[in-house]
Amino acid sequence: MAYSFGIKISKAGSDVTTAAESYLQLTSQYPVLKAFAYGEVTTVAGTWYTITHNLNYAPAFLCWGKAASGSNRFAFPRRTVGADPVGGQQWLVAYATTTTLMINTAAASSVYYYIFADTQP
Amino acid sequence: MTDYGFKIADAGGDVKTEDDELLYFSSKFHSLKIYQTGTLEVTTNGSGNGTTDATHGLSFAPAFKAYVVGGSNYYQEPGSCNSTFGQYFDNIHVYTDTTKIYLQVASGQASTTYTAKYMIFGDLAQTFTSTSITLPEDYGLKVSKAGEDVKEAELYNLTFTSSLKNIKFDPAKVGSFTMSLSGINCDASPNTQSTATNVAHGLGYPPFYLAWFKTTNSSVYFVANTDRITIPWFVASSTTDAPIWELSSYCNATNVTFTFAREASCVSSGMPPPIGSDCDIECVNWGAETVTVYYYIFREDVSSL
Repeated sequence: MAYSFGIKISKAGSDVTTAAESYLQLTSQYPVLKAFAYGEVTTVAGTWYTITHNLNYAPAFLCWGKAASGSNRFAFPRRTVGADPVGGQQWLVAYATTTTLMINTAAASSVYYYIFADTQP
Repeated sequence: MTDYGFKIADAGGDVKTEDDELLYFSSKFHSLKIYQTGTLEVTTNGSGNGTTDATHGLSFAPAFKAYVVGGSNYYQEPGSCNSTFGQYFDNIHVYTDTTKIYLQVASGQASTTYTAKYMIFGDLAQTFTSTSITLPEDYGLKVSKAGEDVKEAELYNLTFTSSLKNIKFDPAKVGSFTMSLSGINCDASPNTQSTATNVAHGLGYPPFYLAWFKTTNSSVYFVANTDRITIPWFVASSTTDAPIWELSSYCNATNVTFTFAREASCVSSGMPPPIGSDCDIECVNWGAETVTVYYYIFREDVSSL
């Protein structure tokens, strides 16, 4: 490791002073995504749902969605050619602006989102 | 603002004054914790269908990411078109519920083996307040959400635990670039165009990555030219539903590759075309367009999941 200071934590059974990076649970050499906001919203089919974050920059984000009529959770984005034979969701799409996260689903859905304090570069 | 926990700044940064977005770590913010990784593999039947699964046992539907394996390339987001006018991945689906993660192929190639690598986080993808699993731990560090007793907190209420690895990125491998295509109309031959950009990562293994794009073309579905949309994405023909505008990506041991492709479509309505054109009413032309791609390349090796 290039740094002579910082913090690192290894997996159980690995010596933190010699462990390869893949055996480190945390190392201050590299940053992690920091979730600024997260939660679940209910969408209406084909209608944009707005979540305001007011970060003043477009943040990194992740979303997962489940059709109200189903039990399976799919990662965003999702876009099938023609009808979705598995999840009833021909599309799951989201985008970020400097003030909002916008979510749209093909079917009425529950969507769980993470908005990170980390900016899209 | 919490008044407990710990935070880490970059070298040279003052951890006491650094902006939140620049901190390498802050227990004030929830972090994604890798709970389980693995490979899902299924061989389809004669109709091209097949399903397999792996148990996670978290009792809630967890956040996850998956990659479809295609030779030495790894394609993000099963269930989406993620290729350039050819080999799609929208018939390969990965999803979770409260007990398992699934790989399902629907109307794929018959008698073919499909493989996906997955990463399940110990973090929620649904509202959940009940008991989950307890991690074995007799040493280390953990931080709970505000209002949660760290000694009793469920896994999903921990902003950090040293029992699980966090996904971490290299600031030197975070960036953006643009790709441009000139205008094309439906009488062009060929009527497709594409451009690709390789982002060399130097890691020697296919890395976990995230990417978004914006475009100067306000006619691409819902997009305004400031919106940042997750990659992959495509716009479909109104008549065939096949992709006519695509931004796709994959990673391998050398690059993360992004491809921007468009098709100027020409669909016959059965009526004679206008003089000087091979197309009639269903002619889709594209103007000159530039997309900007924003990416994070992480330190996690997708091939070893």
